[in-house]
Amino acid sequence: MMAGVEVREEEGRDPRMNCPSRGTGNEEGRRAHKSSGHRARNHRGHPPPHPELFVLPVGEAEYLVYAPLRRAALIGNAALVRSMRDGGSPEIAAMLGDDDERAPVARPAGPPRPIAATLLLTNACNLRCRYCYAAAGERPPAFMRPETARRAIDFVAANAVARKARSFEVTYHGAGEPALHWKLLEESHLYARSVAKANGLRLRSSLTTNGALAADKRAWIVGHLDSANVSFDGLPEVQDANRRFPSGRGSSDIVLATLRAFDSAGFRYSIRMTVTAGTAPRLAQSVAFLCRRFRPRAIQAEPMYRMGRGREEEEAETAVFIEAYRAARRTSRKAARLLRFSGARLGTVTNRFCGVANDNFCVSPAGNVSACHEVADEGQPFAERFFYGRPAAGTSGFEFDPEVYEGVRARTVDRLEYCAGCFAKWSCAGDCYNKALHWNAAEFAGAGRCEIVRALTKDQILEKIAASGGVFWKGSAERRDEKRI
Amino acid sequence: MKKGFEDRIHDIPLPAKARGEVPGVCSVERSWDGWKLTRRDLMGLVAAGVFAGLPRTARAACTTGAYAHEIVVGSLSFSPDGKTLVSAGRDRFVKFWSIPGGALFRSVATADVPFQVAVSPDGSQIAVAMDNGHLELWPFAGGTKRALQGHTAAVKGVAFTPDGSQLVSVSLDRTTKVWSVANATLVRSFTDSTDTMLQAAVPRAGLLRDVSDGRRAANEALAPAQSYLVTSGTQVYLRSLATGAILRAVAGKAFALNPNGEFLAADDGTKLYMYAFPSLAPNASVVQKQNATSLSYSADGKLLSIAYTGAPAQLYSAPDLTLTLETGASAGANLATAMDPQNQYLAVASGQSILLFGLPSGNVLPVCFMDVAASSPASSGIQYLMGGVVYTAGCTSPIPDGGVCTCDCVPGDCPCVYDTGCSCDSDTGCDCDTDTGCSCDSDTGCECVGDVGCSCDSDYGCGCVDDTGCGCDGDTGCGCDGDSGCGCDSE
Repeated sequence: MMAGVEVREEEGRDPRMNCPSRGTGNEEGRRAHKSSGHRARNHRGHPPPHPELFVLPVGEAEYLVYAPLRRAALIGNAALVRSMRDGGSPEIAAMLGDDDERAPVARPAGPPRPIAATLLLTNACNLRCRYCYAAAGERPPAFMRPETARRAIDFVAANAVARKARSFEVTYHGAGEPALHWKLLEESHLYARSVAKANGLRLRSSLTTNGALAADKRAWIVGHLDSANVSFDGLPEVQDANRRFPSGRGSSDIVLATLRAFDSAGFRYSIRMTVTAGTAPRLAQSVAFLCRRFRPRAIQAEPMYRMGRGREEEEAETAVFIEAYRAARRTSRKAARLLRFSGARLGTVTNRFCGVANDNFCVSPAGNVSACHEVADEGQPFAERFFYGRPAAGTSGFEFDPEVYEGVRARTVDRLEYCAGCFAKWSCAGDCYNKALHWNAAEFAGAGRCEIVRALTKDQILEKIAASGGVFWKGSAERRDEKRI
Repeated sequence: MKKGFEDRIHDIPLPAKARGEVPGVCSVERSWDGWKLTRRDLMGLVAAGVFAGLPRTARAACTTGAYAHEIVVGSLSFSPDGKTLVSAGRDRFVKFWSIPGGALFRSVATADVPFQVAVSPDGSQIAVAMDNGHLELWPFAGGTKRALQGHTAAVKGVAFTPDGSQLVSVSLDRTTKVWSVANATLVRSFTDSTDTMLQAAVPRAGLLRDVSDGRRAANEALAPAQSYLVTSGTQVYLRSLATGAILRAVAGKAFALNPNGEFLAADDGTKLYMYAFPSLAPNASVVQKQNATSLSYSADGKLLSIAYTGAPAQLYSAPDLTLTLETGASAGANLATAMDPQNQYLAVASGQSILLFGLPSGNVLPVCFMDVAASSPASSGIQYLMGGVVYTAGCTSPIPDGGVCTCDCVPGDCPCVYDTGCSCDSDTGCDCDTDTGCSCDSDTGCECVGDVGCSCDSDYGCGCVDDTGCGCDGDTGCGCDGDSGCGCDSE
């Protein structure tokens, strides 16, 4: 979910220095260039001669040389690295190309005007997953009121009209199971449809669910929503060990039935797997099982977060996860194609990990606005850093706290000192802000996920080189800042 | 402030500068336990133009999981009219494909693993060299196969003489044999005491220069028809076709003779050589350091294609050996390349797939060589019936003459119902991170290639097929395997 808002770009920043460069200006509020053909050039009109280069050891005496903003990489010996420190040979320079070396530094400007809403319908849940980041089910149940949902829908639809967008988005998520507030889910969707129709807009709608759904609900989802993200851990015994009903009964059979129903209807869905220290060794089997039996659009595997009910669990962000992920990708071509880890995404060049820094508009059951769907409760740790809005009294809209939303907007990788020297920074983009706060609230100082991101991103670069003939890779990337403006 | 990462090129510590060290690069390829790095010669790569911004071709038209053969394609040969491509796969099939459509119109099982196929110059016969001494002649149009019996070990190479009257075969039994095509009988057999021969060719006669002084033949009398034979093992050997005697030997393993018989190109894994023929005087060479598996000339002799086991096929101009094109990403080991006698197409065997390129541009053509029997179940294509056999071709392939559509089939306009057009090919990330975009749903199916835990149907995940999907909290759940209830207790 990404709230599409105006994005201003801070040009003239030298990505190697992580500070404004001299003489080129640094105009606040400058709008992003919408053409990817824009190129940074020096005063003579030539491309910058020295790209931002990173070097990683990959063998006993070999080094991976990676130019993230030029989408290029090769492997060489120490002498080559030394040569490239001095500018390299013309042939290597030609290989690196003269691509746009402008760092993808962009952030929203002005008050939030999202065109996508995430409705966190309830914190109630029909499962008691052992690692639930929200500890769903432990707090008194809270349910969103219909007028709250309608207010959020009206707000994003009005923004879409004002911004001349062709569509708006309503996503159902929750620090609970949104399908437990079924009546509002149905009603709000039908309401959003009517708003879309009245304004000549297209409605995009999706649901994040644990998949423990009755048949009639599955049928409704298939018939009404565009897609779903189903939390499911793979092998039935793994699912049943981690994701149980309050009675202690496993949920695999019901979720499997949901996946089968989605497949038989040709419905678009992805699977989100949580990997614990205990289940990591079975990740490959789980992914192979899902690939063989089902047709998801993507399978996202993430190590368990030590938050909520999982805070006392054994650390999962380890080298074991890295090897398990690699093994899972090797099980089949399909697995290699579908499997994702959120921090390793070589194809993306951005300064923002997710929509938190881009005015995500997540409405809690109480009607307040959070930048993160994982921070869905006003009483959660660090909630004050994410909740940036509330229903505006006496009007149909929302009022926002500039101090809070500017705070989350500023949480981009170009401002993270710890990440400045990391080769993966323009794709990982500083990883998840919420999780980072749980690691170290004072400052971002890395965590186990950093090693996972780095290892898997390095794998992706090597795969690119291998697939490009084995010697060097020269590719192109989606520049998220420009695409999403 | 906690210290961050130091990956920037000026931050990373390097070993002390070694005496005489020169910049070098490595190639990388997947190995069973990770990545295999191979030192490559930087200057050689530069000389070969690898860094010179060479055009790279796009990928072919197959949907994921659509293959020509179930196991790697080992040999390719065009018919003389250029309308048919014959492929031999390690899956023990020889297949016939229409060109340029790429539609499969015949698939023939072989007695053993075929290593090479060759179409006779008149297009009437096919020679199939196989493992365990099997060598056969097949009528091109189909019919009774004729076995050529005599080899006692794998027959690795086979070639027709230019007039098509004889066939030469080389084998791991260290003999080179000459056969009569008309009678399917052995004419001569030479013992290869010097080397084990893996490839054979017989040059055209009329334009040969005499080996004794290298001058161009004034007439055919100076170079009697079919007087020479070329075979290769650890070297390339010029031999007498009449006696098998080795006249000259030069560096090279895989080789190709140009159509006029004036040049011989060879590759020994370190260099690509261009020799004058038949003198075998070196004309040009290029540092390669890749193991070439197959070389092929275009009909006009101006282009030379080379397939490599671990790198994309390349196209060179000949005889000057200027690299003109890299054919882009490989789908696996490239064991064969062939150019059609009409000078229009280049075919490259890449893993289980066949790629077709236009000449002289080298642009990949949107043709999918797809056999449903060798492809993943969910790969999409058009299906048609021909000669009582159901064939499947890629979406962009036209149905060959005589074929009748049977499924998902609109001639020339395949609906590809399962393919919604995601272009995430070659991208490992596909980057659908918002998970609403990428629609790569042409699912190719789990292939369990790594065998690290494919959970077969009888193993995990009893699907409880009768489960109606009750999600009630009181449901005690499907018990799998034998659970006849699976019902929703509270309903």
